[in-house]
Amino acid sequence: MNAAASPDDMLIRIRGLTTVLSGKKVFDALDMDIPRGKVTAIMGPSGTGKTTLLKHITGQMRGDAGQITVDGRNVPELSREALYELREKIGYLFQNSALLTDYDVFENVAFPLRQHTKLPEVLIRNLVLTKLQAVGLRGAAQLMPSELSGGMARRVALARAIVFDPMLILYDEPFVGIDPIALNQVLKLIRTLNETLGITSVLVAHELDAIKHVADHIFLIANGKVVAQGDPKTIADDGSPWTRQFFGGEADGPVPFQYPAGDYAEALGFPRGGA
Amino acid sequence: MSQRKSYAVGTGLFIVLGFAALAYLATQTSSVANRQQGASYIVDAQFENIGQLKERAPVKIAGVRVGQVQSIALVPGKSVADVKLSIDKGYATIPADSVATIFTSGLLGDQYVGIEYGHDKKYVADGGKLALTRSTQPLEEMLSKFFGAGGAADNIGGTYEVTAHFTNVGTLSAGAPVKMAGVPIGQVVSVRAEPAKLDAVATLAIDNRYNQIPDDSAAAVFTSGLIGSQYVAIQPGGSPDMLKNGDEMILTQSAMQLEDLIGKFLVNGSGGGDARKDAGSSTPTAGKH
Amino acid sequence: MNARMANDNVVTQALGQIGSCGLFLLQILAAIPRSLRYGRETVRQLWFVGAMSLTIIMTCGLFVGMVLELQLYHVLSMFGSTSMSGTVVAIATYRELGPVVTALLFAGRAGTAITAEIGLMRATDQIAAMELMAVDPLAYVAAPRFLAGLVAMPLLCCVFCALAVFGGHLVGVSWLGIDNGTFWSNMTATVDVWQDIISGVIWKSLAFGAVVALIAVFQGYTAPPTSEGVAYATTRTVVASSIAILALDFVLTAFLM
Repeated sequence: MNAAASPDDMLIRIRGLTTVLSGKKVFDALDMDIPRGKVTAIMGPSGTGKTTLLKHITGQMRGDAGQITVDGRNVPELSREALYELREKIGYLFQNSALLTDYDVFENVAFPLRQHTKLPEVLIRNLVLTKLQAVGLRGAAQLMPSELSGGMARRVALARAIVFDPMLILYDEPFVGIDPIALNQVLKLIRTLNETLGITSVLVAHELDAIKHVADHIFLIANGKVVAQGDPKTIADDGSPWTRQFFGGEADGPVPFQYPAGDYAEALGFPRGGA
Repeated sequence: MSQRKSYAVGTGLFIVLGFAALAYLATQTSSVANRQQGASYIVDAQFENIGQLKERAPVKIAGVRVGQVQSIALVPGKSVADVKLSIDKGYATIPADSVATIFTSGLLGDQYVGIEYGHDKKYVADGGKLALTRSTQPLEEMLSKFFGAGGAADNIGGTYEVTAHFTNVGTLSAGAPVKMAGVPIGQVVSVRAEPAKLDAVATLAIDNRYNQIPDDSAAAVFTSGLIGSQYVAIQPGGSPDMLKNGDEMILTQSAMQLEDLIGKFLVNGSGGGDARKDAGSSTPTAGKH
Repeated sequence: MNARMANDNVVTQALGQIGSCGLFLLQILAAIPRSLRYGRETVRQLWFVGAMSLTIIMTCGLFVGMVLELQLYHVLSMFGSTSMSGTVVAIATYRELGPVVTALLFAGRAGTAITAEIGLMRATDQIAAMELMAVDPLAYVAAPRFLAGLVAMPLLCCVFCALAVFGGHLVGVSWLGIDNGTFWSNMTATVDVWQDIISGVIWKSLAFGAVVALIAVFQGYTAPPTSEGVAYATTRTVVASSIAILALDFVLTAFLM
């Protein structure tokens, strides 16, 4: 399913995004379309700016050029108020969960509700417990974030991200640092949330096996561009050296094993031409 | 939820405590303080000169503290200070003919009101008056009397601004207080040298409330205590005419130089013992009203 | 960028810090109207910043008053004016020691806590999480702490001064035997509400509270999101606050007195 669907099916459209950070081109005229209601994975070698891309989508960072349209609104041009209004419809799962250490699990999940609504306490309680039940942590409502394991914290963060029933959830490395059981729990949650609530999901991750289970569409980015895209079954077959190296897990290739350096022999003090 | 509430209560307590401390500072330790004590009664006493006596200074009988000075004011139209003493109800048996005296604790210490019992069978009541009083004496006056340097000085004053010539103003400077019976009634506006007469002329601004000062009153440069700042003291005369704006005070007494006094004292030699005694006991001059 | 920072000399760095701190102040001030809906958070911060500092402030106030009185008694007894010692304790505390010592203690107790807390919130992405939950961290995190510091400092300073006077009274009257009435009468005759309490205690501590809270929040907010970055920022809060307090004290004294 190459991105040939009609424009309305695209929740996020990125056109010509160019960003330069401390002299390095992180994105070089990047184009990307993320379909509505699907699970999309963004993959790529470390340091290619996958998390940075998520920050562009939420307006935390602004590119030097290009357009990012989310649900019909061009993010870089939004005012603070409009941006905040948009963010209320976006859930974001941080790599390290980012729970507020001052509050217990219940208050963490209730936090967005308390900030943006004036719902009665009973309703807030019901909503929060529903979401906690969905992630299987209703019993942990009174624990403090410091008492949670990494996997539990990530599920609490997920409950917080979905408490407003967002149209889009961005997952930043959701599988890092948790054991296989927790990984499968999170995987199952992503799928369930996508299927039951119709939430568009965008994942940034490295775990190929996990992604193959959950993603409908995969983008592979490298050198600031999309170098390959497609569904999990076919993407590895497009024959480009990037996909071969990445999905084949080869140590050397377009992504060099050696960090760029000067002449090796010279650095070791050998005369030019060999000893 | 209960966590939030306890923050609110604790914070509330903190704010209340802070404001209580502010109220304490402002009302109990500053000039706003006008402390009412428990059960006390007020007795009037009028002095010709209260010196450095301050509000809330102690009132003592035989050295025991029985109350404090409630207020000090100038009696309208008279060069007399009206001092209200607030005395503890427990000491309600003070004979009506007792004598109120302003004493100094040591040479440089603070002043207080001492009451010496009389023999009357009647006691002063609340709002009553101690008719017999003895005032403080400026150090200069005592010293000059002692050295026979001619008691009070000679000079004249006015109502709004008056001038006075002094042969020596000591360290008197603009802004120094002008006092009558120890109560400030104005201040020195300027001090400058008079080229023609080769002396100093001081311009005194006197509060309009005090326009009943006889035109033969004297202006003298006194020092508060041994090492205090200098001020102009006005000693009322007996003329029926009052000082007016622009008048000159004819009778003046210049500042005494401590060095001169001590020099004289050393030359005189013999008077040493008396001097100490006089200075120490603040030689009483009966002031009856 | 790090290499360039290292090449910059101390003066340039300090000026840069002052400049960005000033800009940050403007951001906070702009965020204050938006932070009013988080009044509860401000109250909570007032508890952490103010009420939790009470113990150290009260203890220090008491001892400062006691030691001042003791020293003054010995000096003033040479002039026979020991009864003025209470007055000197009061005036010295109201005009200088109260605001300055309270502010220094406040920087050490509350300022560091603010810096470390905000620094860790940034390091653990809590600030970013708020941004993404459409909660402005300037209004929710920075402004309430700034306001709490601004409100807490004068209150703490009043408590400090009251305890100092009490300590002076304890030593002077109860221990050294100065007359109780003279102690108070000299004090009330000399201490002026406007000169000493309003412009000394209140204005100075308001200014110091604003400066300490600003520096603490700024350092926390701009701390590199690493454990050593947060530790360094905490140290800098104490150093910068102390210098700022004493420098500002001189300027304020010159203008107010």
